[in-house]
Amino acid sequence: MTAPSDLADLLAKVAAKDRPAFAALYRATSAKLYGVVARILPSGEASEALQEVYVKIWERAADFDAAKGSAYGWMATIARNRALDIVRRTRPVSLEDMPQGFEPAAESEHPLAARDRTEAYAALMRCLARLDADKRDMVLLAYYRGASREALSARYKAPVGTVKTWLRRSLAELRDCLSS
Amino acid sequence: MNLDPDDEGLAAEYALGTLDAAERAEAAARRLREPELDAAISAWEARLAPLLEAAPERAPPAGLFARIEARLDGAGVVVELRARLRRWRATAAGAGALAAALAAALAFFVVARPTPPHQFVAILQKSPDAPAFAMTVDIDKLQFSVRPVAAQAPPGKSYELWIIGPKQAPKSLGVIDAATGERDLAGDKAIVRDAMYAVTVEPKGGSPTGKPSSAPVFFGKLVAVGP
Repeated sequence: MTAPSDLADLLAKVAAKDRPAFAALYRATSAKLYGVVARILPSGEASEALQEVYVKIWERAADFDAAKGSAYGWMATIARNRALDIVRRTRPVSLEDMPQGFEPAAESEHPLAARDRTEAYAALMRCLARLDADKRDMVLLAYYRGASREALSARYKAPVGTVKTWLRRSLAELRDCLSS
Repeated sequence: MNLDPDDEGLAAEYALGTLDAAERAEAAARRLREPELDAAISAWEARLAPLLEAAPERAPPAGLFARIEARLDGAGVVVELRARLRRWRATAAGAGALAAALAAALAFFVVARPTPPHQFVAILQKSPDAPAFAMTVDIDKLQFSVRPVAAQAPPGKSYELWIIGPKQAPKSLGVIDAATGERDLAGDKAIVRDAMYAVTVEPKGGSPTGKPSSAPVFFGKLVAVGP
């Protein structure tokens, strides 16, 4: 993948409405961002969503603030939010209905690969590892696959309200762990 | 952080993605005018974003970039609005004759009318299938007009339109009634172009304080419909 500083440079040029820079940004990031949306949405909606995401990146590039996070994180968050807006609005997704090919175990199995990733990723993984296995999988299913509380409730055989409590508690633990 | 614990949980779940559609829309609207909630959501997004570094890549369909580029140019935007209109009409068919008639009026306004230069529209809505107001802006003249598509203020209340410039407080553009003619927009063209436009429910006649007294119920940004 393109080095993070290069992405931030490209975004700065895109903010100045530089079309070649936008094309380069697309080449560098589209497979990543498509991976993000295609795990939440079926492929037809995913390609539509990806178009909207890049139009938004073009329009909002000036809002990117390197002090608040990475360029890739900023773009991927736009992509995720778009996919989630669509999926929440259009249907209550059950895990069975989701695009196939991703299981939580596959998302969290990167202890060795973590060496190649950023410190922030490694720290988050360490903190996730401290959660109970079920709670960690719920967080990962929600984050990567857009699982709703209802979908998690069905899979983990717990009332929706309980799922909500678990999620919020797990996230609070995660935050405390990350800031310690 | 002095955020209410419920709001902290709300921000966390917004970033995680587990709020339902209504909660999600409400949180998105509230963050426009509550800097603390906005900061909490951004902090949560940044906290969780490293997970996306590990996301497997998948090649997007060929030709997608050309479609994106077409959207950046004016023509693409109009095509996109047409597509949205078709969806609204489809929705309106189920939602009643009034909505259908209003969607048809909007279709005329967006598609049939020639698009003079420097003309922008914003569709103010709660969700993409529920357009509430259509706003047109002439950036050169700094004038706008706004018309209800499928919104009716609750009895004894008024809808009030606000412009929210980047990192600025909401500024009233006045109460919206059934027929609102051309009105003047003060300010910088770049801000007018990039601002968020939002509608709140206010006491009859508009907010007495000059500030919104509730969260926006409809909002949107301008898109170009002319060169």
